[in-house]
Amino acid sequence: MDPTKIKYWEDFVDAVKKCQAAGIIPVAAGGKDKWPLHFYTAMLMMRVLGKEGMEAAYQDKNGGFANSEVVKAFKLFQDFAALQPFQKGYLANTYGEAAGTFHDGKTAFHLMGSWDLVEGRANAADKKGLPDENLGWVFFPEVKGGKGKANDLFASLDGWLVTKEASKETIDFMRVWLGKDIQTELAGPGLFIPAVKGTADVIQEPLLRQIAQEIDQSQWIQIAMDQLLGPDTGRVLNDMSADLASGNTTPEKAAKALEASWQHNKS
Amino acid sequence: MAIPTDPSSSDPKQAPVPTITSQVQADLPSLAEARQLEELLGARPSLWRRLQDFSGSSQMKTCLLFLPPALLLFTLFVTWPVVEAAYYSFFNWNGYGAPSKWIGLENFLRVLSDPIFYHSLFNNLLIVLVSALIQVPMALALALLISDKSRSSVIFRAIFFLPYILGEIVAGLIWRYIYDGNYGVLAVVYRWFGQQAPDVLATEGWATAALLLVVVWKYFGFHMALFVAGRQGVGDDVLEAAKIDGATRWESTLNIVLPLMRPVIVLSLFFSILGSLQAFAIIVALTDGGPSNSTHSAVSYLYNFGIKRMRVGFGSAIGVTLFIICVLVMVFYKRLFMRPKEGR
Repeated sequence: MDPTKIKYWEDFVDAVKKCQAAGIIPVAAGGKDKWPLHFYTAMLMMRVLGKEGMEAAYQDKNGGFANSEVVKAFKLFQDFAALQPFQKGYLANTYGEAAGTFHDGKTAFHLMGSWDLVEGRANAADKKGLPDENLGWVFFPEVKGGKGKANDLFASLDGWLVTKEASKETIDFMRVWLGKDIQTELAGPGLFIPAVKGTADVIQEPLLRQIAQEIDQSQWIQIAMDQLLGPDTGRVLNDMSADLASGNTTPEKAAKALEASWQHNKS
Repeated sequence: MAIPTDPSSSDPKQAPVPTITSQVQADLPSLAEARQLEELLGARPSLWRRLQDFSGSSQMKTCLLFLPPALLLFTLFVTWPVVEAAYYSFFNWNGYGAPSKWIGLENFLRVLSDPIFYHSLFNNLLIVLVSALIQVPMALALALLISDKSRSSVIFRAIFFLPYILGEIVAGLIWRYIYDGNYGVLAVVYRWFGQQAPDVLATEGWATAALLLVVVWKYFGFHMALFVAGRQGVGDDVLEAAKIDGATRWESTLNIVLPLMRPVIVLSLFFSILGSLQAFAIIVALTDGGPSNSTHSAVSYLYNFGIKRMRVGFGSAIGVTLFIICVLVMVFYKRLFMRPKEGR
């Protein structure tokens, strides 16, 4: 099974089946923490609805989150989970335990962000995990017929809070601080991936550089939905993702619950 | 009414019966005489009288010194938060700034129509039932076995008490590890028999059973300690008398020891109910509400759905509802079981 050939969601599902046939646990996931599962539902939503579709959902157009495309995305996830692709007992595992399982080499895939290279490895049994040559990124595949593109990114961004009383010079400072020169300098040793175009080539660590190059290409970055939707609706999305995976709810009910919660909270 | 006069008194004004109205005032007994009268008649002094007596006494000063700090702490940390929670429960509030979105009883309606809330109350009830039907009898039986003063009994008492000393979070985390289907002790045991361990904490019904097991394991030592103390309070002379009368060990246990330990058993059940209503840390550490919100207790439900989701108004409504339930339970329990015994 060649992971670089995975272009569509269906290819990924096939790859998972191949892993199972070969006796390898396909995917690691931290079901107890729930947010690792919401990566799947959120990204599937992105791939099916695309940027415009998601923005319309946030603004309650087309039925908000209860529309049929969201239901389709949820159904894709539920069907995937029905294959039992995750490690045994994943619903009781935290992110740390799942990451440890992956970095011990026990599963083939782990849907995570760049932080997994540091934090995930720290959870491995030998605290070092697998060497870089054994790891690679496969970007989340497109869904056939979906409006989202493969380089639509799902990310957590760091932001900077400024108080109301801050002076005007703060803006100038931010321009310099977040500008290409300083960010390039900081990105070099691989401290983080800057959100500035053109800094990708400076990053030394090859795995991080891959991601940075993707950022350069991307047209749309969606912030992690369980954060963007707020503490309440975000948790509802997490709960729904875990329930879809365990079969405790249907895609329609999940979409309705999400929409109801968003309605209540979006003000 | 004839007022018994003190024969040693030489006051000529003490007439046995007040005759003319104008003389009534002069004939009324003095305070000291009235007190004597009350004592002789066995009458209970009125509240007002008792307050008067109290204000003059030195007990009053002790009271004035020690009561305010206790009252202050109680008001500040118990009464005031309850009142505030009742206030917040009428708002849709995320916890920042001051509450501003008045929504009346909507939070309460939401709580009372949420199936997860009822399931969490059901879990609380399960904990109480398991405590009453499994934990307490077990602790009682053990206590009766090891409440003598021999060295081995003392050692066993210490061993059985150990789980109670563990912090709740620590206990929950230890058992999480034990129950783990891949790396835990349970997995090792199953593998020894060549089987795959089930994922206890990932399966709905089993997770609840697992939680109940941990609760029983942790607290039965405490109940056992209570019962040991209660058992040691039962006098040996009564049991010896029974033995002389030919009672078997079982008969004397059933008919003498247990009835004499009734207050302790009632107290133990009281603690069980209290503990169940407060169960929180052990659930968060073990399952955090469990697979699909199936192992929430009332308090962990409050924390998850009220505080973690920044719906403080909703959380307050849950808190107020819980408070009312607690008060009702405790009032009924006291009425039913803790009535002072009349001449038994």
